Order: sequence, then C-alpha cells, then structure tokens
Amino acid sequence: MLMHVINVGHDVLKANDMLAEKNKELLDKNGVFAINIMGAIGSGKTTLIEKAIEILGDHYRIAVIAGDVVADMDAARFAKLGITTIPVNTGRECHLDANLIENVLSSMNLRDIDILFMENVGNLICPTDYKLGEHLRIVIVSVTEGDDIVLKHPMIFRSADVAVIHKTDIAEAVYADCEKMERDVRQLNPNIPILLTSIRDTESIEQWCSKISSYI
Amino acid sequence: MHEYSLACEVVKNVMSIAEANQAKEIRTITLGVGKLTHINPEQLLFCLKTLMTDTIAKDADIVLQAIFPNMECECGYYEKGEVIYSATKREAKEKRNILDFLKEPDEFHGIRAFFETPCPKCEKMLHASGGRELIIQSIDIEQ
Repeated sequence: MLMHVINVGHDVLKANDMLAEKNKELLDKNGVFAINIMGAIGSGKTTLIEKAIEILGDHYRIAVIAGDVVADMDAARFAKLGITTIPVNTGRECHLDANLIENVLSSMNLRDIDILFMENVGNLICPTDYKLGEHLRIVIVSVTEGDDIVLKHPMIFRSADVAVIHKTDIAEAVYADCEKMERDVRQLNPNIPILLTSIRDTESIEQWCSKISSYI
Repeated sequence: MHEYSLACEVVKNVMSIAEANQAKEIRTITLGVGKLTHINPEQLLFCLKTLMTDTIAKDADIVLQAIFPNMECECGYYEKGEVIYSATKREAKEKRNILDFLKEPDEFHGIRAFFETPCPKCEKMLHASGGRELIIQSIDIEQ
C-alpha cells in the first residue's frame, strides 16, 4: 500500500465568504442596499424592521428576507405591510448563510428593490461567522436580555456596523442599565454608532429610520 | 448546530479528494480551526466521527490546529498568530487529550483578550486579522 499526504488548504468558511461577495455584486448591479439584521430571539428585530417599512416605505421600495427555523410567522407580519417578503426556513440551521441568500435572490425581482432587509435567525452567535453579501450589519439587543448581554457576545458587536439597544422603556423594570450596555459596546467597538430605541419613544424610532437612510 | 453543516461540508470535500486520488483508506485529516470562529471543536469532532462512520475515513485520526489571529496596529506593529496542533490519537492515546489544547480554562476571556490588547508600541487598540477560518489542511491516505 502507498501512503500519500495530500495538501488541501480548502477553507470551508471562506467558501461562504466568496459566495457572499457574489451576492453583493449581484445586489450592487441592481442597485439594492442589503441590511443584515442580527439579534437574539425576542430582541425586537421584526418590530424594528416593521417600523422602518412604515416610515421609509414612502421613499424606498423595501423587501424582506425573513429567516427563521420556521419562517412563516414573521413573513406574514411583513406581508401585511404590502411589501415583497420571502420566508426562508433554515430548517435545522441557526443562521442564514450566503448559499440560502443566493437561492432567494435568484427568485427576486431585484430591479424593483431599493432596500433589502435580511432578518437573521434569532441568535447572537452563529450569524457572526456567516456573511450574506450585505452592505450593512446591524445587531439589535434588548434590555430584557440582561445588561451583561453585550460582553457575553463580543464577536457580533465587533463585526457589526451599527448597534441598537432596544426596549429602553422597560429597562428599569428588568433592572438593566442602558448606559452600561452602551459602554460595553464602545469597549468592544469604539467607533460603532449606537442607537437607544423604544417602540413607545417615537423620536427614537425616527432616529432608527434616519440612521438606516443615512447609509443609502 | 452550525458544526453539523460545517462537518458535512468538510466530509463532502475530503471524500471527493480521496476519491480523486484513488484512496483505499483515509488515515489522517488535519483541520485548522480559527480561534475567532464560534466553532466548538468537541461538537465538530463528534459530527465528523458520526458522518464518517461506514466510510473509508471511519478510523481516521482527526488532527486539529488552533489558528490564532494575527494582531495588527495602524502604527505598523504586527504580531503573527500562533498555530497550535493537537496531538494525534496515536500520540495522545486518550481521546480527551485531543481536545484539551483547544479548551482554555476561560474561553470567554481568551477571546476578549484579542480585542482589549493595546499595541505594545503605541498603545492603540490592536486589530485582529485571520482566525476566522475552518481549513482542510491535508489528508493522509492509503492508495
């Protein structure tokens, strides 16, 4: 028998990155600005996207890719707002990846879209390792997750472009210190823009929307 | 379960390389795991073993390398990331030892340390590059 060492050097995660680059090229070609919305289960991803659709919908043509282990519920919420919505069932996976997005993009009429929200699966860990082809990565955490949530998940805050601390109106009730959360984000990513939002604070929602449109 | 899908990808690639080289048996698979990924090596190994049952890789040694990021600073400072190898099954005898090297007593602080290290030259925060890969480095086969 012959022993033989084969040098391979194939990076499995890089394969996703390369596919993500391809997705981005396709989005660029069609003038679509894509936003990867990441955050834990119940952090307020769907609600904040809904608000953005309501407020920005008059100026931009918006579509949503709603990723979930079972995706239909959130997709139904977006569809009510009369926009193009594609549910993506990730099945056993805890994140969206570039391959899933590539399949969805091929079925979409990209020429008719200005902003594409990609709502990731509720998870602060796995989505960090997977680029999708997005132009902007936003991480949303809510005060209900505990004010130590930021330091527990350093990688996602490091890789995000914008951080949102949500549900600030109930911070006191859940003994969360919003200023501490803000400090923790800054410590991990000194230059990242941070938004403090609450659905009851109309001004904060307007800031959320104008932050998004400032990138487009 | 992102270890499972990554393990599937690894096995798919390893098997097609083995087949292209007329392998009768796969003896060793060497994988590089970036320290800044969220891959849990123990889960990855479990998924690989499970997927390779009843294949020509069923008795293969899986050698893991921990790939640390390179640390860079805008002032020009550069520190090359270490690569630490696990022992092979033959060297380590005990299965646990294969994993021990990847487990720091406090993994959480281990990762954070990469972010909070100031540059030894100018004291600005260092920027990590690399350490985000899962590489099939090599496979040893019998033809």
